[in-house]
Amino acid sequence: MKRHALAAWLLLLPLTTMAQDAPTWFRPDGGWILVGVLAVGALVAAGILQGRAGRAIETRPIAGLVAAEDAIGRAVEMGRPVVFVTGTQSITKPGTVAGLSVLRLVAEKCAETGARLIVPCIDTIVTRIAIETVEEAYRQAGRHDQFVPDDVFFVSNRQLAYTAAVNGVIEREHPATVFLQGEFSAESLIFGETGSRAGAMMIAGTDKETQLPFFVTTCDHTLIGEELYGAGAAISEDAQLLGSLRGVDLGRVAVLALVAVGIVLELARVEWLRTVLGG
Amino acid sequence: MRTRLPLALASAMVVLMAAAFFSPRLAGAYGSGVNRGLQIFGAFAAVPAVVGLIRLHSARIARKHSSALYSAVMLAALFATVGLGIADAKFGGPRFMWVYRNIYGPLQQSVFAFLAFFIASAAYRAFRARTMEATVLLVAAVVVLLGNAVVSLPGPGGASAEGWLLSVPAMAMQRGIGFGVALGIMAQSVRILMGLERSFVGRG
Amino acid sequence: MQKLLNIDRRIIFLGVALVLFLGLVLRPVIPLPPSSEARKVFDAVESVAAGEAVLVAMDYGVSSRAELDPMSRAALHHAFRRDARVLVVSFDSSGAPLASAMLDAVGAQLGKVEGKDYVFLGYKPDITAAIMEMGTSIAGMFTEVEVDGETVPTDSVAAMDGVTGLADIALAVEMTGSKHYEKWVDFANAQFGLKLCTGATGAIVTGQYPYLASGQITGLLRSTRGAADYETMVTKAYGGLEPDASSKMSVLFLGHLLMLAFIALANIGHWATRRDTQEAA
Repeated sequence: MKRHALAAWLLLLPLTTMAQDAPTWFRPDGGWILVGVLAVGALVAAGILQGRAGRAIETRPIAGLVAAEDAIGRAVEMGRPVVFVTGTQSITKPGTVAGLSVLRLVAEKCAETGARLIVPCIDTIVTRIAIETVEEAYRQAGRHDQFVPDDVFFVSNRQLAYTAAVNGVIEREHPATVFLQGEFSAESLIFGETGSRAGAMMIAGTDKETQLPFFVTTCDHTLIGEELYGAGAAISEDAQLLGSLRGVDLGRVAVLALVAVGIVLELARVEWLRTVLGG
Repeated sequence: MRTRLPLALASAMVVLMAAAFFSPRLAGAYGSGVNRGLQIFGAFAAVPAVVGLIRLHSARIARKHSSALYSAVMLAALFATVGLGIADAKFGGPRFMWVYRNIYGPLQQSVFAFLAFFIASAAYRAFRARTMEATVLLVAAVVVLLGNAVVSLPGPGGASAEGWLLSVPAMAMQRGIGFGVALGIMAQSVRILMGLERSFVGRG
Repeated sequence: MQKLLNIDRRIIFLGVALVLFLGLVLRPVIPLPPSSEARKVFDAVESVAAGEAVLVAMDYGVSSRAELDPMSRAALHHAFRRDARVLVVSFDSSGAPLASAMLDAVGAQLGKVEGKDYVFLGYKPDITAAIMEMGTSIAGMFTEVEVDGETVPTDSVAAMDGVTGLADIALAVEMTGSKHYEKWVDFANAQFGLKLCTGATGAIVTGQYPYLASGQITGLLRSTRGAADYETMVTKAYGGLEPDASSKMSVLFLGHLLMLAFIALANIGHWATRRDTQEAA
C-alpha cells in the first residue's frame, strides 16, 4: 500500500515542475495555516498509529447512529423502503465523501435485514460510486439477488430539479426512514418537511452550519458537523479509524487551549499572539 | 489493483492539492488542470448516468407503473431540450435559452418558493417552549423574526437585538462548529492519505 | 386547546399564500432603520473615487434572483453614480446571461457607455483558478470581451485602463446564493488584499458573519432586508433607483407576522395543554 502511494506520488511529481508564470512558491499568509495543518495532521496520524498498535479507544454514542439501526429495522417491519440522500454536492466535497461512508454502512444493514434501499443521486460520479457501494454491500451479505440496480439512480445535477425529484420519491414510495447525509444547501428544509409530512423517521447529518437549524427543527436525529465525518469511523469499530477520532479530539484540545490563551491575552490587552498570528 | 490504484491516486492528490493551496505557483501549474480534468470525468460519467435514467423511466412506462405519467413527462422534456439544443447548433442558442428562461427558470423559482411555506410549517412545529433550551431558541427566533421585517428591538451596545444575536452568539456557534468541521475534514484527509478511507472507492 | 397543537399543514400553507397575496396588494410601508452591515456596504461604495474600478461579481443563478437581483442592481446603480468603472463577472453558468443583461440595462439607464464606463468580463467555471489568475492578470483570465456586439481583447477596453490585477480594484461586491464567497475571502481578500463586500441569500448569509467580524468582509447585505436597506440608502443619496427589495419588504412584514402568530398559537396550545395535564395529575 505504501509502495503504491509513493509510486503514484513520484509519478505525479514531475507535474510540479511544469510551473507557469506564477509569482510565488508560497503564499504570504500561509505560514501559520501550514503549521496548524501539519500539527493536527500529525495528531490524527498518531491516533491512527495508536489504534493500529492495539490501544483500545472508546467513543461516545452518537444518537443518530444508534437510531439508524432501529430505523432500518422499522423499515423492514413496516415493509417500506429506506431512502438515502448523499447530499446535493459533487464528489469533490468532503461532506459527500463522508455521506458515502455512511451509505456504505446503511447499505450493509439494509442488505442484512432485507430492507429496500433507494438512493437518488445528484452527481454522475457519486451515482457510479453509490451503485458499486450498495451492490457490494448486498454481495457481501449474500443477497446479491435482492440488489435492484434501478433503486440507485442519477436524477439531475441541478439542485432544485434534484430536490423536486427526491420529494417525488419520498411522496410516492412512503419510506419508513430517510437518511440525509452529506453537504446540503437551501433544499435541506424542503427535504426535512417533505419527509416529516410523509411520516418517515428522519436522520440527517451535515457539515454546513447554516443548514443545521433546518435539520434540527424537522428531523428526528441530526449529526452535527464533525459527527458526520466521524460516523463512518464510529460505526465501523475499526481500531485505526477510531484512532483518527482520538487524534481529532487531541486537535480540539489544542485549539481550545489556544483560544483560552488568546482570550486571556486579549483581556489583558496584550497583542502579542494577535501580532504573531498576523491578525 | 482495482482498490489500490484509486487509493494510491487519492493519496497522491491529497498531497498535491494541499501543496497547491499553499503555493500559487503550483496552483497555476496544475490546479486548474485538475479541476478541468474533474469536469471531463464528470462529463464521461454522465453518459452511463443518463442512459440509466432513460432506461429506468422507459421501463416504468412499459410496465405501466403508477408514476409512468411522470416518467413520460421527464423523458419528453429531456429529449425535447436536447433536441432544441442540437437544433440551435451552439451553446446558449435562442431555442434552448427560451426553454431555460420560460420553463426551467420559473420551475426552479417555484421549488425555491416552497421554502416560504415550509418554513412557516417548521416554525409552527419546532418553536415551542417545551424545555429551557427550546425556550431560549423560541425567544431568539422571535427577536430575529421581529427585527428582520417588523420592528427592530434595541440590543446591547447600541446595536439592534437581532443584529447582536446574529453577530455574537450565532457567530460564536458558527465558529465553534466550523472548527469541529475543519478538524473532521483534516481527519478524513489523513485517512485518505493513509489509504484507510474507502467510501469513495465503491467496490472495495 | 389541543387543536392549537395540531393545526393542519394545509391551513398553514393557505394562510401563508393569503398573507403573501395581501402583502403584494396592500403594500404596507415598514420604516426600519438600515442595518449596520448594510450601512458598511454603502459606506464602502461611497468611498470609491471617480474613475476607480469596482468589480461586481454576480455569482448566482435563477433560483436566487428574487433575493439577489435587487442588491446587484443597487450596487451597479451606486457604483455608476460614483462614476466608477464597473467590471462585472459571474461564476454561475445560469446567472451569467442575466448578469450581462442587468449591467446593460442599468448602464443604459444612467447614460453609461459600454467599454468605456463598464464591461462584462464573462463567465468561468472554475472560480478558484479564475480568482488566482485574476489576482495577477484579469485580462489573462478573461482574454476577450464583447463590446457593442463585437469581440475585442480585454486589455484594449477603456474600462480596463490601469487595471491589471485584483490589487488595482478599489472594491469588489459579490452576490451569491452558494459558498462562492469563501473563495473570494480565501483567495481574493487573503492573498491579494482585495476589499470585499458581499450579499447573500437568507439561507447562507449567517455563515458570513465570522468573516465580517474578522474584517475579511467589509460589509454584508442580508437577503431581502439587506437589499432593501441598501436600496433605501442609495435612493436617499442619489435617487433614480426603482424600489425592488423595498417593495418586497411589505410582503415579508406580513409573512413574518403570520409566522409569529402561528408560533404564538402553538405555544398557547402547549402551555394550556400542559396546565390541564398537571391539573388532572
